Amino acid sequence: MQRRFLATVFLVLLCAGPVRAEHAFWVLGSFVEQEGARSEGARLAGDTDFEILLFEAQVKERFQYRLLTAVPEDEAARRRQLQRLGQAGISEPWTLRLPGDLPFMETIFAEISFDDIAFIDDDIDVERADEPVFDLAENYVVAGSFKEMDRAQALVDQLNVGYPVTIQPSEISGETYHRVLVGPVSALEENSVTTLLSTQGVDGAWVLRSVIAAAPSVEEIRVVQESQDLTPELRGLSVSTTPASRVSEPVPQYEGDYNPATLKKKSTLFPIPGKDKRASSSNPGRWRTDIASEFRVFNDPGLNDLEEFHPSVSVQTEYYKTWNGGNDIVAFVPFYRWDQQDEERTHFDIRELTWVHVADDWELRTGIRKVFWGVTESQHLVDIINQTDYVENQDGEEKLGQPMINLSLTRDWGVIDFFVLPGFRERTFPGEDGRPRLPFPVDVDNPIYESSAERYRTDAAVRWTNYFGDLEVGLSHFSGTSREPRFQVDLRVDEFGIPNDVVLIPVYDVIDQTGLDAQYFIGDWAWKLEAISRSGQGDRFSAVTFGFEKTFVGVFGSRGDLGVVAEYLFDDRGEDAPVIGEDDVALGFRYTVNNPADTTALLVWLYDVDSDEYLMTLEASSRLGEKWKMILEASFFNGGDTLMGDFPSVLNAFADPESELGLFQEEDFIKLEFIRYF
Amino acid sequence: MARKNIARKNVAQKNVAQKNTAKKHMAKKLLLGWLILLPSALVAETPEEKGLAIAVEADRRDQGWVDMQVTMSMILRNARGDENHREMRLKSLEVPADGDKSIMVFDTPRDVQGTGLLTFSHKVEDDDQWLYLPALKRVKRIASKNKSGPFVGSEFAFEDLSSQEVEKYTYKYLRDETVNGLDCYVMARYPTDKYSGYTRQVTWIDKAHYRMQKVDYYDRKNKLLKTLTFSDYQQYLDKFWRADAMNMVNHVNNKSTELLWKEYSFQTGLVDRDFNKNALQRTR
Repeated sequence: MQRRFLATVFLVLLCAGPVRAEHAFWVLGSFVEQEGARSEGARLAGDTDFEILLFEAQVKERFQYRLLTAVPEDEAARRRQLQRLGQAGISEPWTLRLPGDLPFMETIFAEISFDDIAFIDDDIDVERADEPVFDLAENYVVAGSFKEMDRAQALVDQLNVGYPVTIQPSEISGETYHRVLVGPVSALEENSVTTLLSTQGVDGAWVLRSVIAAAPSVEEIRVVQESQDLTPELRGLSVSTTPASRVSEPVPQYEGDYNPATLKKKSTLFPIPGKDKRASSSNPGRWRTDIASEFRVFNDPGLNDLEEFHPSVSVQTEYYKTWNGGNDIVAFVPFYRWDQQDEERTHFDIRELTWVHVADDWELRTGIRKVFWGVTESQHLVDIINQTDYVENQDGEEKLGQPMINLSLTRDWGVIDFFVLPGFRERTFPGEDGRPRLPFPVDVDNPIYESSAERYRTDAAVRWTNYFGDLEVGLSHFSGTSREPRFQVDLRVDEFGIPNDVVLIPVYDVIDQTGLDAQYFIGDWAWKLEAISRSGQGDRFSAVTFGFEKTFVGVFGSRGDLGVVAEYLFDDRGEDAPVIGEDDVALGFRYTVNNPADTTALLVWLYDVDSDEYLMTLEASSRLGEKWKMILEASFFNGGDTLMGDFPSVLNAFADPESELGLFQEEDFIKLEFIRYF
Repeated sequence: MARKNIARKNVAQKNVAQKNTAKKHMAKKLLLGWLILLPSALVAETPEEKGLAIAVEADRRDQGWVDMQVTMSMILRNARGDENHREMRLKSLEVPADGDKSIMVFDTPRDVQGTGLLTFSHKVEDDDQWLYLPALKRVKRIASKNKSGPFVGSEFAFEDLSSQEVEKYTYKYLRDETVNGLDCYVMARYPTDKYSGYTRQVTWIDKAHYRMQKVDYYDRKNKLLKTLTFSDYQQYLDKFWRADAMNMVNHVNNKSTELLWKEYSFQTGLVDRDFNKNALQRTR
């Protein structure tokens, strides 16, 4: 290959044919040598954008090469043109009038050849001194890199992008790669060029962002494709720029010579050893299992004279696999618990069996899944997709898997999630021998549904979330079978017709619930709000939880953090509300030791303002080595009226709308759990 | 010379075009940029200006990596030498006009496996951070003001591991000194955020490649608290230097935490959508 920089971009073109029969021309210069006339003509063409004509005049038996430009008829245009010429160094040109048919004249365009490049680089260096460096930054779109020159050249021949296409050799890990560069392009053009390339079979073109462009040695660059219809400006740029330096170079990670802009498979030009560049995020599939043994000890036999010692074992396994560069995911999470005392607590559930497909601005999640909504800590009003697995823990944090189709759209204005929920999961409740439980057993085998489809009703929900600086907002609506049942009280009588027991029948109404959740940071205070409005369970009602969370870092001169949560729980049904949080205060303290074992303790104090009852719960955990974890939980009731163990007074207490927590007053317990991770 | 004029005109046009696009990205940096125009700017007037110029140059040299994926092992050692290990994966995306975006996900210990931290760092304002708790499937926005607390029980604070934007400190050049056999600039930097756990940090940056070699952290009482040393620098893509090992020693409790970085890959094709709450939830 010749070394000459073939960027003689503006050739002198011939303009054949006679010029129109106008007569007046300004003479911009006369030259004895044709070469000198062409050079000056090219300069003037570049500086003025006028049509510059080369006229061979015979003067006294010698040729003179004159540079002409037509004199405009309009006086104003004439003045403007004279001014432009003046700026180009031509003052007071004399006027040549040619009568009749005009002789042949040649139009001269701006001309740049390789020799100019050196000058231009000098100019850049001069200007660099008083310009911020990044003004000289150049971006190129890299269409591909090849070990073999032939293939790089083949790609160059294939492309038709309206920008200069160059091949730049560069050394990566001791190998020479031939990089196909398109550009330079401006930041605004990057996307359109990348898109254009994708229509021509080049997928995954990337932008080589410049740093300060070090002047490359000329040998490195060869203009190998001249687009035929470039505007002069574009061509000018292509010549006078220095390509970006060779620094940001993706290293080929696999056999074959191709990296990293990938050609689409449909392209027949090159068989590409196909590997997605995001494949590093693919997971070929793995199983992970936890086994937990748990011991719960209750303070006394309680109102129903139940066992005090409740051992249990649970197993949860997770299978997780991704493919298609992480854009397709399957997960399977079965869970099983065995409980020595409570046959209702001995249960199996599929927490997750899901396929997720990820696209540019949407995700489709299909199968059995868990979804959490909301921001508050003491209760989760807004969270409604999954049913509570109440036998697992009375705190309501454990959930059953819910079948769903969930389309999630990511937009500039937030994320919007649509849910179709085929099928309903009934809430689990401890059996007759299970604890902690209400004084009366719940008949989970005979629930009452409002919907005639019963548990096969298809529910629907939609949720929008976004954040604005320090503000997080979620707005949701759910239409379907309530996850939270009412209870129908069935009185059982003895052989004399005297009531001696009660069975609670769960009633699942069809509801509509609109929820709002928000969190806002003021300094290191997180202010939280959850509010719902629900219709379908009696009269429409509203409920609110709001409060704050603040973390004190390095309290008491230790390296530990103390998080404080204070929340108020309100339900406008007042005392009639069949829930704990109708006019309650929750105060929580979370102490994080920040030791290698990640020891934390959470103490929550829930106080019912109306009945003067409170429930204290403690939850502490610490890792033991790398694969074990220990969890300690305790729950203590205090205050309120003491329950007598006889049936009528228990029934009275149950019927008393003021007291909810009080029903659990004999159910104080401590739980110790050990989890082994495999 | 005539040809030269034409070329000059083209260059001028081009500069105008580029200036317009550059303005967008670089407006904030304009002032800083001026300071590094010429090597002579480094022989700057005041120690503050020189310190800033060094920071800006170090930052400039680390621009253009686009995106990055790496795995990180964290070894916690107490005064007796007992060890605790954590493994995590980190993905980052360079955001030219703002701080970087990153997702960090834990692989071990197993009880926190899948726990993720999504960070949108910003140059001046507070970072935005979301924590993902896989057991609850809950994404929780957390207060990034609590940056001075230890990160997962290590000797690194959250702020030590966050994106080190130039604007997060003010600077003062102190002296030249040799560290690790390398000729270094020594400068102090002062956090601009009052929630920082430090009054100042003293940094050693080598003159040849502007790589951080050592940092001394001074606590709120201005007492030397910790020292971070960097070792085994490797160059990636012929440009970006990354230390394979970082060791933070706490002088008060004699504990230390070592970070070992492995399997760096750059420009892997990550995009914006790999760094949002949906992405945080699906990474395990």
